[in-house]
Amino acid sequence: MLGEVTGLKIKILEYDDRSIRFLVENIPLALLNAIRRLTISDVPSMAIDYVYFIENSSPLYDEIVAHRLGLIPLTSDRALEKYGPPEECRDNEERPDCYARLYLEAEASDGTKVVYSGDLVSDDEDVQPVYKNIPIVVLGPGQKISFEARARLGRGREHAKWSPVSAATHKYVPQIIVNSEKCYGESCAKCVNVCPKNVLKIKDGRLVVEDELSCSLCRQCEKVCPTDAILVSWKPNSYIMYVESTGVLRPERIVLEASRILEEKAEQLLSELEK
Amino acid sequence: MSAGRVLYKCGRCGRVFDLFQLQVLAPRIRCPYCGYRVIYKVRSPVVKKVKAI
Repeated sequence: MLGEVTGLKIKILEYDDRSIRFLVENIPLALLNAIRRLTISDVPSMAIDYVYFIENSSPLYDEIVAHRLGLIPLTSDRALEKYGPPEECRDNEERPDCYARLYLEAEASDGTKVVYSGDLVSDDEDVQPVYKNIPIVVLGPGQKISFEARARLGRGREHAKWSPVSAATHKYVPQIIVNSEKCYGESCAKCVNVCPKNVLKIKDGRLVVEDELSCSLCRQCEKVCPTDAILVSWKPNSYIMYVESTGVLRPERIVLEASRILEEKAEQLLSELEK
Repeated sequence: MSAGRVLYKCGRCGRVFDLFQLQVLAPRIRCPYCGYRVIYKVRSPVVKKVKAI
């Protein structure tokens, strides 16, 4: 189905600490979608797995607090090399390289106190809450909470808390063709007003496509055009992929890890077939 | 304190007592010291393991 992938080209369109948007050319959709799905379900990251409660007189049950703790993103960039793989570490607390420990002890003396993710004290500086301002619980006067939490590597397919991405999408590369002979230009401009992404503009009385890549292929412009002067289509085998990290891993790392996992899976399939 | 010994705490005077004291000193469900009728169960001193799901 996939055949041979030749002439693959990647161009990064946007890139920052949390997200990456890139254009991929000459790639089969099935391959790119496999990578996208693996970013969601198979790239490992750290998250709290168990919580040992010593004291909890807060209004929330232990189970609710544990659930909330599990969802806190923990930095995992260096943890990937340091900790054992999810398959070997699940329910294996004896193994020394599996679990990172985080502690918290808080008490509200008088007045209420909000306990934040930043109050967690980690025994490993590479495994820290990404965001320090996530509220865990509100303590009333005299209430106490004290626990030890254990975090390990896991995969998104086991629980969404281990998924390193908050969004992983791809879309077609839009191509908008304007037939200037048919177009009425400034006197009509219906398509300019209807476009939700403001892709089309009128310049010097003529219709121009200004920001082609942000087109969502909704085809509203095609629909409102009285003379069928606009044709919205897309480039074959080219896609724009967008990966938004939760902060646990760098966005490019997520894509690279997903590609590596796909490669491993393909190798595994081949070796199973050869048996 | 051994595990399994359940303690109770009075909602008004805050004094802590166990089931035995409760039955001997106050034959009905009330604080054996001040007679208040709202009593709370005290969290047992064992460490509780919870899965974060």
